[in-house]
Amino acid sequence: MATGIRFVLGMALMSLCLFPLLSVGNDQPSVGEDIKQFDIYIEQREVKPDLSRIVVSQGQWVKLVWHSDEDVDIHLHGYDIQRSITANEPGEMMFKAYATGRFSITSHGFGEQQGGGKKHHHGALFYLEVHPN
Amino acid sequence: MAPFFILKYIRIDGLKGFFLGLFWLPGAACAHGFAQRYDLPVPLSLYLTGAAITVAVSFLVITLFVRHGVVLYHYPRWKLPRLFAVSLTLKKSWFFLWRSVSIFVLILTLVAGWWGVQSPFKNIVPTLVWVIWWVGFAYCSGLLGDLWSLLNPWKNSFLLFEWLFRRYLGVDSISFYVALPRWVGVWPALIFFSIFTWVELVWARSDEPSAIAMLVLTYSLLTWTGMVLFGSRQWLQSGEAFTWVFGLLSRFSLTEKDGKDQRWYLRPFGLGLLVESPVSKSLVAFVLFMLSVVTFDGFMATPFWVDLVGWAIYADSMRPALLMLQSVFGDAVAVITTLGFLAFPVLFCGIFLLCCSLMRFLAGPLSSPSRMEMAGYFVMTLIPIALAYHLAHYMSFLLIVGQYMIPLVSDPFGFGWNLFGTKHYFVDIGIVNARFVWISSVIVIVTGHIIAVFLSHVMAQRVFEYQRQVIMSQIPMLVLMVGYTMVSLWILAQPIVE
Repeated sequence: MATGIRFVLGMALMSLCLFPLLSVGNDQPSVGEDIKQFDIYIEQREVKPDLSRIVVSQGQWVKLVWHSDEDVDIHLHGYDIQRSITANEPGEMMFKAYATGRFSITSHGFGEQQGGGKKHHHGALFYLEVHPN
Repeated sequence: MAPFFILKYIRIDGLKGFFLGLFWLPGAACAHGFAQRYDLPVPLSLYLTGAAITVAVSFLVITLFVRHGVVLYHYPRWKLPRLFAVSLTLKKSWFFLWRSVSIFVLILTLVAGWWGVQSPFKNIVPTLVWVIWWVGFAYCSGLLGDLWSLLNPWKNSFLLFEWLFRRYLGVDSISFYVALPRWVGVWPALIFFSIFTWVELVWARSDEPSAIAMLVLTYSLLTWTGMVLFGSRQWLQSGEAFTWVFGLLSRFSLTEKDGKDQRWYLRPFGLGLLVESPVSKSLVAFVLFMLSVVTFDGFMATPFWVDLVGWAIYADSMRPALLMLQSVFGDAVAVITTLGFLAFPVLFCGIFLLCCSLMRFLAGPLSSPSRMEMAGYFVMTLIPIALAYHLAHYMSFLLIVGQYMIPLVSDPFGFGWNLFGTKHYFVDIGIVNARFVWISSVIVIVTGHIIAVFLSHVMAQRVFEYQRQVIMSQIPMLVLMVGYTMVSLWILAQPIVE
């Protein structure tokens, strides 16, 4: 292959590897973009009513609004978003579902407000599934 | 800007472009992404398509080979040219470098495991051992060739010990060469491998750096002791588990080494799994165990298994047994999982031996090899199905969690170093799209099945004298292979549950 083509291919390969990162750091939806909102209720340390998964499409903005009867830390794995939820006060998680996959959402520290590092509650509360378009 | 000076030493223009690309795009100085992402279940339509192709191809192979079989004693192969990339791996003068690298990695695992930060994400050891080595090396072995024979750190460190003793103490050999009886076979390797896979699948501490270091040290001492007592070559053939695991997978791969001219050859996938005589009972057991743990690994994440464990824990009928097990072993869930872990190989053995009996029965028992000989001839032909499932199941895991190595090489101990400037690399969980994973997984699994069916037919041509026997014997084997492939597809179609 010609020298120039090899050089350009190398640039293109690196660009392809890093382009997904350009979407990281976009904290807010643009004007006109839909936000899909889910209200999740935790009572006595369980999601009520029973919820096994939330399904969204790739590229969609998602807002999870948490309502809990106890203080709790919620962790969305993969996207690595953590929020401390105060009892009886709604708490929000908003993000763009740029990566497809199945992501567990776990809870820990029921009854006390703590940062990360504590071992999670056994198993997931439910799963977020981001499906391709 | 400092790394720009490196560019003048890079002769390959594509690589120059690659590195320049790094600085063209905005910096990715974000915190680590604690990537814990599972694959989406394969959609039903794709699952059914894969299943239909599996069945159709199986019957097509039978139809194609009804009249004239393929014996394939001599398959096509091509001498590997002395390309730079190939020479880098295979030239004897480079062996010293690769052996040193493998010993360095072993020492790094022990040192980082004991003295590094005890976090699975900040210490290099869990990612290095479970992702890069256990999953990544299986990929390399299955696709490229038997790299473990070059990179086995225990073999290489023992060679180093021998050289040191010879050079500085004038001792010819540090082994006693006690002869192992033939019946020992690969049973020791199977025992060690079963402990290893139990640690991987069941043990709660398997992601703790110090626990991994302790296990690596224990296995190192056991292996070196075996090599001292029985000789390096004999122990590698009998007791070193990973020589067999990676060696068996590499029989599927594209390359082989010729014993006569010591040159490496390229060959079609899978043909290295054909055998000229039945393999030993212990090797049959080893292969079946390997296949069963690959499947159990995926099965453990299905809702079916999780519900089964849940039932076992909460059912009143199970309570007395469970309380007794908990009082002895501590963790009831680990005990139940261990029971499943042990039941799977027993199930696999039972089903496979039944299949061999049926093959004998349909081919005519008087003119067929014994059941164990049949098992010895055909067990290797199942490996492509397990390997294909492994490749499909771990594809996105390797691409996503494997990215952890980029920040970890800069800070292997978790002490806050930044040796290569990659500490703040952000793990990209969107590197693979679900649709790509679905389609490639189904293609890989169906391809593995086709290869397995073909290999089984070729073995039958070698084993039986008459074409009618060949065809009749393949019916139970085809049913088994279709069933096995369906199980693999079914697992991929299940939503993963923690």
